[in-house]
Amino acid sequence: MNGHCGHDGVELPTLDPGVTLLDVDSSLGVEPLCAVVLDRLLHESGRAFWVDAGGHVRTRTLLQLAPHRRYLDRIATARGFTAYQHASLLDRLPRVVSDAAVDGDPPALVVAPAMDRLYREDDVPREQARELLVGRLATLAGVAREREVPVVLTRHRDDALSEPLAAAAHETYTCRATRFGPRFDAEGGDDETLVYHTGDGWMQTTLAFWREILDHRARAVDAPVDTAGDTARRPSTPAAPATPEGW
Amino acid sequence: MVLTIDYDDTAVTEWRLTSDGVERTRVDDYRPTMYVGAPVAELYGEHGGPTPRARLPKRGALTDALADVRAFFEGHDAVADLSVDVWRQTFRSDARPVLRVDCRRIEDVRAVARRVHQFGDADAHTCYNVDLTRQLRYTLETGTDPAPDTAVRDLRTMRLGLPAHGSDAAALADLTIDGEPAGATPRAAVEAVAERLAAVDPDVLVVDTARVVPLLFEAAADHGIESFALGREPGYTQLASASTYTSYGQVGHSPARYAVPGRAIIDRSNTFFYDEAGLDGCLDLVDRAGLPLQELGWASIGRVLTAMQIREARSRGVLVPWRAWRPEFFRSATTLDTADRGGTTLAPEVGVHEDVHELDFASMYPNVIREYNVSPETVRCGCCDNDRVPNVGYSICERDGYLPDVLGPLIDGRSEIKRRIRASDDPDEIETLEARSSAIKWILVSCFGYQGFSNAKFGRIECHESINAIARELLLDAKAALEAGGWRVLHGIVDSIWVTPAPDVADAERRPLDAIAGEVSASTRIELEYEAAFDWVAFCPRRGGDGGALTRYFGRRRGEPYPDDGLGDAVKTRGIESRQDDTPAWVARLQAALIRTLDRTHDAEAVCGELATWLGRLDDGAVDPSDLLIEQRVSKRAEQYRHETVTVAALKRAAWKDCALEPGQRVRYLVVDDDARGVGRVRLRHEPLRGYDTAWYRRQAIRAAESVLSPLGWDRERIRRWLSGTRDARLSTY
Ligand SMILES: [Zn+2]
Repeated sequence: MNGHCGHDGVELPTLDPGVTLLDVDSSLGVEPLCAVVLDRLLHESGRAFWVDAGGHVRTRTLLQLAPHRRYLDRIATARGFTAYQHASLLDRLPRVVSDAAVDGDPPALVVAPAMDRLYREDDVPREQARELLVGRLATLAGVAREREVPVVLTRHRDDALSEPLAAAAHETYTCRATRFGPRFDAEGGDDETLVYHTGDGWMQTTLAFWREILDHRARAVDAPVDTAGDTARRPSTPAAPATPEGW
Repeated sequence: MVLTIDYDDTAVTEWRLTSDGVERTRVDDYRPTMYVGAPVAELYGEHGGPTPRARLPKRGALTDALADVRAFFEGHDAVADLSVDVWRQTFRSDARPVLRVDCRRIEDVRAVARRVHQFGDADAHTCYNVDLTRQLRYTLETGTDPAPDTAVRDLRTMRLGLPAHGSDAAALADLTIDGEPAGATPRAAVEAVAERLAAVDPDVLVVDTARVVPLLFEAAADHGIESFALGREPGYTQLASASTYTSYGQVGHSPARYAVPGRAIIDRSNTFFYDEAGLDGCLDLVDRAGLPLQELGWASIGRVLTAMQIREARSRGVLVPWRAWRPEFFRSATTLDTADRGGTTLAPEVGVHEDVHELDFASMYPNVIREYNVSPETVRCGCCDNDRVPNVGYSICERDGYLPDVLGPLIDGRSEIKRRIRASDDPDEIETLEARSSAIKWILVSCFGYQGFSNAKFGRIECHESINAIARELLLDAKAALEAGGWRVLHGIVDSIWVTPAPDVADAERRPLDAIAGEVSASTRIELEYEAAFDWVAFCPRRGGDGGALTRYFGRRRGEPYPDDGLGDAVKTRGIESRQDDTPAWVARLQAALIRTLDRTHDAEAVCGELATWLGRLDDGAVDPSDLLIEQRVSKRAEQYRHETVTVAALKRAAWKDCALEPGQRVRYLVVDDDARGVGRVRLRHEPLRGYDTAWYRRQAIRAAESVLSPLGWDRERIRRWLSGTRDARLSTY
């Protein structure tokens, strides 16, 4: 794995074309994945395709992390809420990607968080779950190969059902919480780990932490940063009650 | 027209009303039908775009793949007949040949569907009309009118009551028949039921819980009463066993379902339509929704809506998919963010406002669906390009959608019922009509949420988003029109908007509300109705940390007298404790009293004084513990809760007392000692109730008071300080 040279030692993994499995500490939430996606969009033109399982994609989080809300225009997303819908979405994906490419929007990245999650629900017979999942994994691998684009997967659980995910991945990163901050490691890698030295250890919130990193990285490559947008990210506080005379 | 339909191996029995009883017809040649169609990728995936382009085989012929399935099932035990039919497999595709499988018995339908998927890849074929409920299926496939012919005579009912906590034969000693105790022992109860059945010959059994069915049969067998039958023939069928299921994060409980020959069972624990609308309302709904009475007898709102959609789909030549394959389309995260926003609330002005008027869009969501042609197959249809949905820019098809056709008759039907209510002066008729109206109302208010439930048979999330986006626009249009007319908009929630005369506009320049409402109605095509005038309305601020929408308020309706007790129609409340199901009766009454005090005095301290009086009675132990019971719906098993709440304690106690509750059921309990551990914290309703935890209920009371006083800027700390101040003052006078 390559370290992307950034600013102030702030780095995120560079994704190579092909299937990458990202294992994120559950305590770190969805932010590391969002950061990887947004970071890719800072550095590459084109579009991210986000095939969601359940309600993983949280636009509020993306908005809070993105250096500029414009980046969200470049994330195409569709959500499966049943394994069947998820499978159909992945059936559609090659065509959707190719249509976008024809329209001048080549894929920058494909992401399928919690890829195995819906196939665990009660309405999918066990023997079908694996078959459906493996078939769609092949579709994703095909997109990665034909479009020479990174495909990032995360898994809901590490067990027999999700084992094909690890098998299909040519690289596996972990993202762990350390006392220096979140750290990405390449599986089997030794000296190529990335550590974020944040000085005082953790910043006040992980959200702010990732936001900071992405802003740095955006500036480093002259990608758009919204300097005025901070106020929009904070919920407004309600005004004090207005009560008429005599109450 | 049928009362009910029984399945018995390869035969079906129809029961019809006659002037003095029933007539039974045995049908030997009915064969339930399911269909096998195209591969998933062809219908939903291949082209990615909105319009699937199925590869058409020769006219009237099956594809090779389906011909293989046909050959596989040839001579199969479960299959009575195989043929080719022409149907549409989705609302978006054209009719084409599918494999029709007539099954030998009703149980075979699912088995065949499962075999289809084992035969090929899981997505090599799609199956249709697999999981229809059996009576609905029969009426659909045979073209039988699902409603009993009440022109022949009225239905006869018999009510069997059983306490919720009883689960074994001993509980039959508490059985009631039409409200009267049946007998002191299980044996006596069985005999009493048999006697009453013989005397009344009911068509409908209304039961508190369907568990009473096996209990009665088992008790009859135990006591050697061989001839006992609840139905019009011996025996009963268990249609489904009790189960707890997880469906995409939601835990539900479905009680066991039973059928007895010749009689419909209405299970009050499983449907709220009977309690809401009575038998007449249920029958009206059977007529409108086409769901047979026995199945309405355990139906949720979603099931009724699904039945209507299935009928409409069938009339348009569309099959009912078994698996929910259809996904949403890709859109940008920006669009998703806009679409996901949910019901609109305008920036409210928290606090108390005087001289307030409320205007509401009538049945906003169903009317949006109808007037704007919002339907699963019309939103982002792929054939039209018109950006008709504001903000998100989705197109809506020029062709008529099916959802408006489903809801239209309900909307019109309800208006017609309301018209008849206005025209009637017969209290009985009015009551009947109101029950009907309310049953329909529940379906109309739920249809919107149901569209967003992506696992629903015909749900579609983009439909849900479109309705939201259009509704939001309508509310903003109304706001602009009202402001232009000289009114200040105080708040808006989804379909309601509150205004007060704008202080900077002279009365002479202010336009009357009905004139503005009329114009808004005409331009939006949805009636903006003048709802009520309020002397004052109090909008509550967000409660610390709940971050939710500002939807809690209460307001004094102008000129509406108070009843002797409580608030009646004099005060409209939303979102505050007295509106919530799980609030103990005493707390709800307390809150009502506080609101009346506030209305009378306009004085926060007077409200605190009233609160202190109530708390004094609580401290003295003078409150009836049954007024302090909390009723809650169980959402998961005790061990799945993260925190040791009192509800968890109640669940554990129920399990300890051998009446374990499943998610989806309701638990009623009293908090007796919040500081204790485990099951000692609470008592269940059917246990002896003596003491209660004063401090715990005191906190609930103060919380309820906080809702009333929060619009005046008081929080619970200030209330507590006031209370302890007066207590100190009182003490110092001694
Ligand atoms: Zn169209």
